[in-house]
Amino acid sequence: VKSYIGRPVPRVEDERLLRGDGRYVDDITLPGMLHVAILGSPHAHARIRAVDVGEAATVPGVVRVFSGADIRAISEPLRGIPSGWTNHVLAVERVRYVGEPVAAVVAESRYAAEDGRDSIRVDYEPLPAVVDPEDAVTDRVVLHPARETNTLYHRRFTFGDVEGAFAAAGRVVRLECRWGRTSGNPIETGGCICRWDSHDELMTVWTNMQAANFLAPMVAAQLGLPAERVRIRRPDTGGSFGAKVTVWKYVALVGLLARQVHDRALKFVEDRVEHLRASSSHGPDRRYEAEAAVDAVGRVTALRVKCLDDLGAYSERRPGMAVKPLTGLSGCYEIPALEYDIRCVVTNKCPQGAYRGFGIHAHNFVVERLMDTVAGELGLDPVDVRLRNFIPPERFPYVLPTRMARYDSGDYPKLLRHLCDVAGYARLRAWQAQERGKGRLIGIGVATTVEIGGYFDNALYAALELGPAGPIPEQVRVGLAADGHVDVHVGYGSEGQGQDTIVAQLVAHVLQLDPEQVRVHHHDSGDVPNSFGTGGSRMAVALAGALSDALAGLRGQVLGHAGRLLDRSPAELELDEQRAVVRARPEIGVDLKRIASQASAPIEAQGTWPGPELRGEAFPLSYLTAACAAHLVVVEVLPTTGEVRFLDYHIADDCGTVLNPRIVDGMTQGAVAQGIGQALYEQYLYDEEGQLLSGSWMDYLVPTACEVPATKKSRIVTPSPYTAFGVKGTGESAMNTTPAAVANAVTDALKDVGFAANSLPIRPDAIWASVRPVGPRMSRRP
Amino acid sequence: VKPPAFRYHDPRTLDEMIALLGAYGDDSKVLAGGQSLVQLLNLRLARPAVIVDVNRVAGLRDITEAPDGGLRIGALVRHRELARSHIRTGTRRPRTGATWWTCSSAPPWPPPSTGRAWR
Repeated sequence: VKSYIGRPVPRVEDERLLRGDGRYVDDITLPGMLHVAILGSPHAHARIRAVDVGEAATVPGVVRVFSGADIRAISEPLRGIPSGWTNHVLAVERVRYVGEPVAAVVAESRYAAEDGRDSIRVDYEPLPAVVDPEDAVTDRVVLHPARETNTLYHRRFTFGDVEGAFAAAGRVVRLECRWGRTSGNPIETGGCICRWDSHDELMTVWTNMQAANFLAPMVAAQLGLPAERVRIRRPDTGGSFGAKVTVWKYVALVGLLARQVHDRALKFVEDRVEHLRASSSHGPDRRYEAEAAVDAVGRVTALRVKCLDDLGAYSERRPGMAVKPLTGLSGCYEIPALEYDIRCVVTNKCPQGAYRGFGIHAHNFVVERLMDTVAGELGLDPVDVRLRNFIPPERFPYVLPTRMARYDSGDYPKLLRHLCDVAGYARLRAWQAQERGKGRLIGIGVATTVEIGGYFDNALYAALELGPAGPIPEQVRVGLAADGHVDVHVGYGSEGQGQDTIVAQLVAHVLQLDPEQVRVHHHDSGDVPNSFGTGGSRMAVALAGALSDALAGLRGQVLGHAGRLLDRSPAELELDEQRAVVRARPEIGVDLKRIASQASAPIEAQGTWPGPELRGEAFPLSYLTAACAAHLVVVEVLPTTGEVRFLDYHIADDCGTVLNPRIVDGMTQGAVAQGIGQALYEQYLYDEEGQLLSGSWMDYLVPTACEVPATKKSRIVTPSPYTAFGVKGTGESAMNTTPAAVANAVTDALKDVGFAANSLPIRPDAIWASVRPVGPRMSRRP
Repeated sequence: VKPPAFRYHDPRTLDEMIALLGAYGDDSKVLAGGQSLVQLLNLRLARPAVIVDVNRVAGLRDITEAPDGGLRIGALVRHRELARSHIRTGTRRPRTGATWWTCSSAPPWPPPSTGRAWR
């Protein structure tokens, strides 16, 4: 029996894409297709007095021009959770962030559409902008007058005896942190083509929107159509990292316009500036106050985290990212008493969307900085402090005090010790001391994380008092074709994670055939019964579950047909090398092709992964699996420039049974790059008027291959007891870990000058200013 | 992502080029490599009435040794051409190309002190 689990099978998706044979939404040209250009607001906050589209409508090639007034007549404000905190897809009455869509031009070409856009005249009455979230809290200026406050969500969650633990604590360690506003920045921006067929009364949408099937009913409702009148098709997608969930607002806009321009397709694709300033995909933007109650040996007995999250102008994607930390509030640590105070405010900035990690990544940064601060204050080694606080291996399955997540399995001390062995931690510390003696600013940083996987957000719905969400299953259909291939019908989209490869491996494993015998068919929304697709580190768990279910059915049918052909009981048979054979006498058998071509009925089966269970508790379980990762980073800080250089980077992970190490390593490396961006380079910076200062890739610094070190990866394996094959969701762990590991390393490098890297990104000017008194002088002024 | 309309000229000689730039002044922009200008055009952040494409102007793309031992690098010489050039600027100096490569494109070499390469 051949095992395909754990093999570094090359990804089946890549060759076609690398050859340039991919077909992305912007590659699609339909007959008679029109193009849309969107006029964005130049003001962060303004009343719209008038929109004059008269001149624009006369520009050659322009078909129609729409403003907020036109949209208000045909649709409701954009759906948001909670409701009442959104605008229409083209702004009505007010704009609340720079770049907010105000008008749209439909034209025969994108050139003409943009020429038309240049001719639109908007009369604005500028209003004072709210940029600082602390200012937003005061309600000095209220963004949504009907809401009477800028605080969209505020709740304090307390679990266990927090007061008592702090009163009894020998020491309280405090920390203030800032997490900069960043986003996923996929290389392909968001876009869609919408065509309204008035004969069939069908809206066909080609889009790179993430979770397209899940969002299809929401799009339909926004368009005033029954769900079955909207069909979403997914071409290739060039990355998302959460950023393409909010592409749905463009689908809503272009869909509404398409219903006004019958039977012609309309295309809109964001340019990079639009993506950066107005895609509604910005990640968390937070200020934290955290404190830990610590006993004499460095054990944390209680944790208090207060978070102020700047959501931007609208609740387009609900404050879900702010409440997700409830499912991993104490990280890898056993802390019996927890408090989380979360306040989400609206400001005149681009709305938050989703970003890889979905908010828990920012929280984990605080927890991991706090652990290092505890170590620093007690004079302990940061590795020792972690070992003293880890959830012990015998405590699994471990239900968090929040009761919103159950960590399925793990051995955190073993993982961290493994990392220290691989990296040679003791030797590194000795070498660091020696080099520091020579004046080099060398720092070593360690950080760990739990990555919860197997989404869906039941707990988040509960926290937001939205009632039960219901499980969100993933379904697949499988069939044995007459040519002996196995067809797998899926509904998920693929942003680059490699799940088609995982499907091929799982089928090959269960049915004992070559992965090349597997064909994956992607279907439009609605064609595969229930598919959510990617999100929340879900795909490996969901596909292993759904395929195990479907393939058990298919295998039974294949063996039943083979039994009739061979005149044997199916129990005597097994599958091997594209054949069904008699187990005791493998030379007797029949190949799959013959089985399929002689079957009296189609050989096919459907499989379902039900999703995390719903239980009758206040906070039902959200996630099934808890992977763990530990990072060890060695940096050198250059005092003359404030630059941080990576000398070494080790990662150890435990994501249960690994289906394909090549894919896990690739996802990890990508998340390291985004984590380094978060730690050192990227930030959406707004000035006091709410103008975006980092509105292009000249200023918003996504790290390149030159800034991202190759990391040395290794792992231990603790299978999940709750999933098929023992797999766990992974792919986001380095988002949670890298920023903290880098910040801990920089803090370690600069401990002599007392610089604590608690504010991300860690800017070179801040480092430079801190080392300036001890660093070499560059020049002497008279 | 599409530029507004502009007039396009591609002069072949320095004199022609100078005449065009003189005639249009601030209404014109020079297109050489296009690495910055084309982005600005596409985002409509730059709106010149005239583009003067200098790529076909003779005499701007040579790397030559000056009589005093110096080096003359034409304004249109691509980084790549310079990096691949084999001109030596003096017996004790390294190849121009190698020098340029080191100065312009080198990744930050890791200090070797950890005893192993990080890449």
